[in-house]
Amino acid sequence: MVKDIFAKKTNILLLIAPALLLLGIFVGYPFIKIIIMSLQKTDGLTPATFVKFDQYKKIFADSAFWRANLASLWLCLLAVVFNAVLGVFIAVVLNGLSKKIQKFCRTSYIMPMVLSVSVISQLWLAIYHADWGILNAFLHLVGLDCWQNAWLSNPHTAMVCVAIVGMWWMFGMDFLMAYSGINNIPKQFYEAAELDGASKFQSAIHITIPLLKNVIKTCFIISATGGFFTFPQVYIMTGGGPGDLTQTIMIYMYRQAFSNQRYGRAAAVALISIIETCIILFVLQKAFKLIKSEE
Amino acid sequence: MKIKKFLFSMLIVAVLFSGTVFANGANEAQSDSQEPEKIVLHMLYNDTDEKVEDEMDYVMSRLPEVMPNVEVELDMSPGDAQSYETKVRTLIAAGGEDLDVWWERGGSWATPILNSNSALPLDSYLDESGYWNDVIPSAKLPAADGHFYSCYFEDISYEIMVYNKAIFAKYGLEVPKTVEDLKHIVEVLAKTDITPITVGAKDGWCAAMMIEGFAYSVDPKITKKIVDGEAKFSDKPYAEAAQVMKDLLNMNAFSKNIALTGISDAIPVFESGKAAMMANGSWAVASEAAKMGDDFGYFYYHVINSSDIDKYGKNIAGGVKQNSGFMVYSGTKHPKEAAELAQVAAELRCEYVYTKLGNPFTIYNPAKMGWEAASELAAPVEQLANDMTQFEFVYGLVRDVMPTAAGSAGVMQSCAKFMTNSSEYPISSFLSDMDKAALEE
Repeated sequence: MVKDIFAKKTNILLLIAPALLLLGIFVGYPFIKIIIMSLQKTDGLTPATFVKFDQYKKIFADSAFWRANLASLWLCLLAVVFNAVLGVFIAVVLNGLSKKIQKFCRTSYIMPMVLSVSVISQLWLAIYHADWGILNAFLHLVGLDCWQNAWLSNPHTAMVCVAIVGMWWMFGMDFLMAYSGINNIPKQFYEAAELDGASKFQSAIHITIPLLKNVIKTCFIISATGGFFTFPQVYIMTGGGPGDLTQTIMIYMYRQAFSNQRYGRAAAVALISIIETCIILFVLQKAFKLIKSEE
Repeated sequence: MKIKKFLFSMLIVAVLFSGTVFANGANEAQSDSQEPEKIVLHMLYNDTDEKVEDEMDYVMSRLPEVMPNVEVELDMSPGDAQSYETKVRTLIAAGGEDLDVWWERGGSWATPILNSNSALPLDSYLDESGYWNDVIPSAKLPAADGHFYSCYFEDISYEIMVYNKAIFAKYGLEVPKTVEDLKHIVEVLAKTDITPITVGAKDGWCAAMMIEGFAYSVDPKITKKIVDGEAKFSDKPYAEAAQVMKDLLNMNAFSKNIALTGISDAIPVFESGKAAMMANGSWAVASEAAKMGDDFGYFYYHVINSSDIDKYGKNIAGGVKQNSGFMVYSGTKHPKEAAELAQVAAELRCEYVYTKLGNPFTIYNPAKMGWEAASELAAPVEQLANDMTQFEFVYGLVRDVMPTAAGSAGVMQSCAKFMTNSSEYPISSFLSDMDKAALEE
């Protein structure tokens, strides 16, 4: 009966039609609209005028865009290293420890993730505040007054501080995925390896990591895109400032749209960032494919 | 039998009850039909703090009495000016269904609204209603096309510095009139636990206001010249002002976190006596005088060159912001009533701040309006009200005079960044960014 239904293409089309319709309305249409808007000059109220690739030319000529883009790519890299790689590493290490320690660490790592980003940002503001922040107070306490700093308004530390917040917030996600993945690996594999005299390190390298590859890939993708699209914590903590010191590509786009009232240019930035994300995902896919073919 | 009796009595009760209800309903319907139908107008207002909530409570309580034929549905929209203006633009772009009158924040925010003909010109209405007889002449500030689109109600704003008299008295300090005097005060206070100056530098415009204040002593028309394309930020007045600011930063005149201190953070620091001075606008004078009492004072920006001391307090940046106040949506179904609402709401708001709060910095002439302040004006408030009549030239960034939103944003961002006092952002880079902002399309 079911087979008969799926034999007809019209039936399949009818069944997926609602989903396709929603996809078209909420993804397809806005995407096409962004492409059109990126070729226009518009403030959202006065009639839009087509300016061909003018918006792109102006964006590429703007040094602030390149700085923001570089900052976002840097955040993307840091998120991959300190969230995905570190998350998987800690999950593997933790799996070899006692259940009590596992439970404690698991809860600790996941806790930031369940907090609202507004709470997280306020919390870290209290840490970084130059006048009454916990970090400067601690440095004073241990006699390292010379290390005290205006953490979020110093060009050398501002972006690092912002990156730490994002990594601390989302670390639990990668850790949790890797940890769950490890727990799904049949125990017999480890028992067999133990009987063959394999050490814990060898088990991790030859059993855990290969069987966890798909999970690791997902962690990399989520971390990379999350890092690249960093926005809320920056918006709450510094608003992208002072000036453009902590401006990411998303903040740059937001400012173009809502501070400068240049919706066309903001759409062009959106399209550029979508293309960049596609490139990042393509590179990750290729890298994982390469590892697979080497195996 | 008993059940039958019970059911019968219940039926009678139900019939009597429904009869009464329907009879009342009919009476109500009859009385409703006798009352004239009220016109419903939607008004949008930016809920920035408790002060504006109180103002609008007063306006809403008085409106039925002044405009009995109109029912106003007020939407108090929270958030900063940017979020609020985004909402205004979105409502207009969506057809303006629930928008008849709104508080337009003015300046470059209003440009796309006026360019898209979304605001109703109020010229003829204001002429007919005698509005111009009630307000000061400087309130007659038309848009670029010569029309009037708003009923101004915000306080007339001047860039000033407020100070804590008690702290000054404690350290034997005098009101500074020159930058040298100011530096001396900073030098004294920097050695104490008190922050010499606080400013909402994160918001950009507060820092811009301060730099502009210093630049005015060199050339009061410099900002106007820049806006008109006749001068640059990198010219002498702003270059000298930026140097003064840099010197103050190097002298630890501000807290370490100054670049990330918003105006909402700076105000409590000053009011609690943790900072001796604060760069602010004159809109804060009445409320701070009420809060701080005799400890509160203000002064104008100091002259950079001591030889210009006779210019002190003569030319003050500020004034009335163009195209701000209550605007009427051009697509409103009730243009006449909406225009009247804009004028009445503006007047009631100003009446409230004058009569209840003792704030005279409105565009209305209290004597002509027959308003009386609830109590005597505080000394600094009275002083500023008198000084206002002596100002020779008023114009400034605080009025959001940059021609484009991108220009305003660029100026604010550059000023906020400059306040980091980073060696990687010297005066030359700052002025160059400011020049770039002025040229933004």
